[in-house]
Amino acid sequence: MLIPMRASIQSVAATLTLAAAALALGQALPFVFGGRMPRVVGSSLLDQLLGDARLAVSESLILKADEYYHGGVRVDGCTHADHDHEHDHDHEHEQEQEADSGAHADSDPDSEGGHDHEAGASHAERRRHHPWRWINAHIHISEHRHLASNRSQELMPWYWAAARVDPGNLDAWLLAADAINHDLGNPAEALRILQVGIRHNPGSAELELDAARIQLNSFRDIPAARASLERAHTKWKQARETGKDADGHLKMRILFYLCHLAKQRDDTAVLIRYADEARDLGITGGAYDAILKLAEP
Amino acid sequence: MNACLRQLAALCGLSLRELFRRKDVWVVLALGLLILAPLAELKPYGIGGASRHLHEIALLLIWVASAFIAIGVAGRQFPPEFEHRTIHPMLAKPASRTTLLVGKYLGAWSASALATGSFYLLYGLFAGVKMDLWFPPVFIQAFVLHVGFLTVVTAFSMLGSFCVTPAANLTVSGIVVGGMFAFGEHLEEMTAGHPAPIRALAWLADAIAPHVEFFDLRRRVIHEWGPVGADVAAAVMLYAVVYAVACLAITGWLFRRRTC
Repeated sequence: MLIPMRASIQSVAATLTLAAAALALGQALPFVFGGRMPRVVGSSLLDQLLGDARLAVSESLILKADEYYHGGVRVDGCTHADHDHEHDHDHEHEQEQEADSGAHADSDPDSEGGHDHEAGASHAERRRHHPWRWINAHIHISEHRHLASNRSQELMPWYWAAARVDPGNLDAWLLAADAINHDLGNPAEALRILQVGIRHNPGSAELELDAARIQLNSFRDIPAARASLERAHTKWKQARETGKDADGHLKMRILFYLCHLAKQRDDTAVLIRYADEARDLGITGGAYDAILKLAEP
Repeated sequence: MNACLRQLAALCGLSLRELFRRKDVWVVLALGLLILAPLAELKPYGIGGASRHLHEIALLLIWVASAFIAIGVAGRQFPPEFEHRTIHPMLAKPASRTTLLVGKYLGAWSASALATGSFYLLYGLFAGVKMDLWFPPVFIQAFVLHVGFLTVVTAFSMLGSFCVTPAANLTVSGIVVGGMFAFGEHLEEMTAGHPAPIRALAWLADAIAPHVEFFDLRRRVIHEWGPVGADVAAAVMLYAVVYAVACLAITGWLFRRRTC
């Protein structure tokens, strides 16, 4: 009777000792080996599971949001990101028109223009005559429609998940902020999202530019907008110097807003300096024309 | 006639009891609850009101679970009877092979349909309570077509159980159903630029493989596109019945040739 009891006490003691040793080793190893540990300090479970595939997963989640934007249909050549850029272009156009009056207005978020998704006639003909194709054409939606702007909350789970999976995916932050600002009318939350995005992507000029646009258009916070734009300007230049892909059109947009603010405070020297920088980019039309108009005496 | 109906009812009852004894349905329900309950409370960026992702995940779970149950239940109807030689007393009773086959098929079909119906009912209640969407017409139509899907898949799996081993049947049926679900709609386009033998194979698959994608109304339910026309729904159900009858006819022929 005593022997089995002693054996079980010994096995419990051995198990507890091993567990304590494993716990102590787990705590001690990161201190002892510091930066030489195979796992990067602070990396998440998703980092461990997905590694470099995070960006691909994150982008597929953005595509899923696009699919939702089109009523569940995958439409090539028309994305919610395109519409985000339409907001930008519309807005710059409005700025161009309203720069003289100093007023700001947001664009219509539900624009559907500029797309042509008609299927080929022969394909449609085949579908009509083959019974399987006929059924599939009726069962599976292939029409082109956009989500109403007041239903944009349906996109949020996917943008949120895309940002969680890969915080380095700028589109996840930009598109979420754009939908929350333009479609759901919550610029404060949009600005907060962009600020979180900037913390994760400290080198991103695009996130700074979008934050500046919200500060300028929704909150009329000109000092904060100017600070954001100057940071965007610096980050764009740093990206160019370090050999990263620096989009000239992005710089043109940054320069447009900087010129607009310089014009507002009658800082002609700065305005001309930025206009010269815009000319050096060698991009004509759109924002560049607006900058030239602002630079006119 | 009455004796035949009694035999069919008894065989159906056996399949239903087997399904609930195996606890597959309870596992699926628990898994669905575990996944959906936290997701329903999620408010990304503090913004509530999003529901389509919940519909999508719930319907995906329902489709995967019902396919798994249908293939499994139908594929398990005959092999154990042959293995344990219990097929002899069943045939020794005044039950013909046709009655046995139809009874087993109806049992597998009704067990799968009952499990799927219970999933839809719970999902419908969940959508009603959480999203104030109480059983819209497209939802009912999606369930009806889903039953059509079960009609095809149970017949296909039962046919497979006479051709290959149970494990191979489960794998092959799963691959065929999953493959047709994903690519059935685009088989012709996918193989358009390939050599003639591949195109011929694709043509053959297009002609004889079960077009389970016909029954998938998930996109219509999730994105509120509305139901399909009655003529299309009728055509799809007719396809299901014809396909199932064809599979059962081949199964019956194999069953009659088989020496028990």
